[in-house]
Amino acid sequence: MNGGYTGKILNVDLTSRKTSIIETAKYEDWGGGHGIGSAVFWDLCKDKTVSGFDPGNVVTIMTSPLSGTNAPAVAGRTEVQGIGVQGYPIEWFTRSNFGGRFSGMLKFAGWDGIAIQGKADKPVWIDMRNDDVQIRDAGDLWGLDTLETQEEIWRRVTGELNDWWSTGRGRDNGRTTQRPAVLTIGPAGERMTRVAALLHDAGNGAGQGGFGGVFGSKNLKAISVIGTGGVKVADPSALMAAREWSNKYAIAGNWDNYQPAPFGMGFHSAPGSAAAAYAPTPPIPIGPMGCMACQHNCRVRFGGGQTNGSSCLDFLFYMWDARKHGGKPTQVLQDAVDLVQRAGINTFEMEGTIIWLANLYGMGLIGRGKKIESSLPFDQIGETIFAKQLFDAIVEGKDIGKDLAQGSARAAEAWGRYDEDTASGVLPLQAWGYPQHYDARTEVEWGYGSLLGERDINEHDFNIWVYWVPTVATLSGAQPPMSAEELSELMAKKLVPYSDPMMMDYSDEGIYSESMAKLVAWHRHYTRFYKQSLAYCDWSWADFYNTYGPDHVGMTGEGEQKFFNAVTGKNITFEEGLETGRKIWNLDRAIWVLQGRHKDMEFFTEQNYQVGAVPGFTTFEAPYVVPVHENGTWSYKNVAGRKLDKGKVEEWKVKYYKLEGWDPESGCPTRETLEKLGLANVADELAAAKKLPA
Amino acid sequence: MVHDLPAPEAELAERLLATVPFEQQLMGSRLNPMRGSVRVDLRTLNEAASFMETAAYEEIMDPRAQANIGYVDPLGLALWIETVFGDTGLADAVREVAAGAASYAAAVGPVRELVLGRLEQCEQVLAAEGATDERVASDAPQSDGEAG
Ligand code: SF4
Repeated sequence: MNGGYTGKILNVDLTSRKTSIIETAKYEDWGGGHGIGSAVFWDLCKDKTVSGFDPGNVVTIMTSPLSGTNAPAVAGRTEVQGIGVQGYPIEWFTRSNFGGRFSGMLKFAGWDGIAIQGKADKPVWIDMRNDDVQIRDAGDLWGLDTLETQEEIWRRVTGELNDWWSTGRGRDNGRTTQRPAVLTIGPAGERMTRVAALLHDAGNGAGQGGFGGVFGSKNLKAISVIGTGGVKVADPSALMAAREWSNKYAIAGNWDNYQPAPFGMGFHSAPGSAAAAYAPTPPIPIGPMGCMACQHNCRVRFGGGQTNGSSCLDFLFYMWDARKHGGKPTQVLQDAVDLVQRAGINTFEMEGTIIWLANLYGMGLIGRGKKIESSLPFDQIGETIFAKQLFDAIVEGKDIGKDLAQGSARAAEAWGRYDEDTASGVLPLQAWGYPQHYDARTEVEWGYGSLLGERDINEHDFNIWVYWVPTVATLSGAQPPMSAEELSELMAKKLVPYSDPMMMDYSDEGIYSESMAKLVAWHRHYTRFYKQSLAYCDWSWADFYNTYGPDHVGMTGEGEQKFFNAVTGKNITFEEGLETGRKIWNLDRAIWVLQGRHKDMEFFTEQNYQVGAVPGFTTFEAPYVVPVHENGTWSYKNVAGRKLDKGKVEEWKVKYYKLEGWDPESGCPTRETLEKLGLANVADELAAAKKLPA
Repeated sequence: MVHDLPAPEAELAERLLATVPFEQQLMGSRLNPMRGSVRVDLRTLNEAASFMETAAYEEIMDPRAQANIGYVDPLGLALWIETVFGDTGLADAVREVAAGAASYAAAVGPVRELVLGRLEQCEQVLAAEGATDERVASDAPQSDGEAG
């Protein structure tokens, strides 16, 4: 018996206000989530070069076959794709993702996903109640913030809280006490800003890509879904056995042997532990909170309901006041989080923007009577009043908010500061207009992945082991749990089919090597399939090293496909999943090529090539201790302040392109590569657009 | 160790207690696994020394301990003290402590103590001199807070 898929994707044309059904079966080979989203986008978006704000843009909101099941750290995540409006200088086709219960509820309502095209003539919201889908007028929701919108929709759909909601279809499959899962925009999205997020429930947001603004451009305020069905599982006993097996790798199976996992990150971590590290001051009671069916429940709910449960990255974007309080978030941060979430603004973009504004202010370039005229209270950066006035300015398009609503890269261009500020690092962008997350000069794999893609990858699979653990151990004068050599051996076992220990070599030579190309390729393929298509959560997977695993070896390579096969009844190997990831990565690459991607535009911002050492003066990321293989020996070494050599990066790109079967001159997948992946139609469309390499 | 340093002249004492302009600030880093390393702008010696903190590896690994790492590169700090504040004696003393410490954790306490002790010395010098409280080194605009 097949399971996991409901068999249908909702296709919504907002222009005509008509809906139709796309058969999931046509797309099942893509796995789910991102893979299906890219394939549906490819088929439905006729002109892939349009702006993200154009009605022709297609937004997909996809579940995984594991959504709504009890597979761990996967069941509640939803993938969003389409032409984003945040990317710079081109609005790349991009992705975002959010947790919670939206994907599970979509499945319970009988849907594998939603594709949205066109533009409504006036504000609407989509009301999904099992099979019944209505496009409703949202005139009276327009202007509400993200929390108010959700509450209002809950009232309209299910009435008073705590009531049963009944479809009248019977007791066992027609009733629920759940509220609808609502995905909504706030005022920042309504104003079509490029910094607007999609928000769902408490603290779940899809910020990167600017999909809030895309919803706004379509006059789409919200999507609400409630379902009373379930998810068909091909082999329920295999699924239960897999979950019990995975418990041995989680605290759930190790109550008597609790071991703190590094930083509370990863599958083995205790519920609420990562967020607990940043519990506010003065202390308030906290309890673990998480997404549907997750064993980790990494986030927390605050006793008084502060921040509506935002406690992940969104909670850390305005840490200025915390500095005065030993790094502990204060009331100011809680207020700022509340404000930014209600307005529906991307916190990651705001964090980089505020750093930049502070720098400009420090340099005497912004403020009343300054080169960049603004009446915002810059002397109160770090206080609630500054955050409020900044967000209001962005939402209302006034003062500098008019430019900042276009994102910091475009604002910098408008102010004539892009080149200078990204070269110096005063404006901390890494590539494609996205704020720097981890440093491309030191943690190159992160940077390369973002550069070859279209956004900050935000994938921590290697980050914790190649950076955090060795760095903190070095700072503390302690031994990390794995030596650099042991790390390279573990990764060689896990990173099939390459199985190359030199992939962990982050030395000055290693970062330009063929092995580094393999590492980047493996990561692109792994995440495209397992994390973004099957929706395994970045905060628990990949599971390379596990505190409780036999010899501390984690589940990756065995766990991911175990759950997938149990739920779907398919029988894929881990490597087959990676191959599907390669196929998805190539399809995405083809879309970017159609949009104008070429080797000659794949550059980091200049600071990555120009600004190097001198900790404290030109880099704050010091130390940056990573595994290196030098003179035949593995060790951990501080590489802080390293500059990238532009010529060597260019040579490395060619190594990478060749490994992927892409044209070394343009970086475009070749016909041969696309055909091998079963993407001959993609090659044809590239050829028709005169983008296919000769 | 600070008592090995001769008391500073009033002029140097004032400089060491001053807030430097933005262009001369030192960057520190708060290590934060959920967000990444977060830059911290440091404009006074007191801020820089007070910001330096760490904890045992086990505590940092265990989120329940809520331990923090406030990182200021000790050699960067020494360079800052020398080039921006002009206190070669203090800079060399910081370098000496850093060179003798096996790790950042081992250096934090002594460096902090050294710098804060020097600032106390400065306060005493100025109190004795009856110096004014005018300590802003420049009229450049100031920002305060953690960049991120
Ligand atoms: S690890 Fe955290 S973010 Fe990921 S699915 Fe679980 S609760 Fe959600």
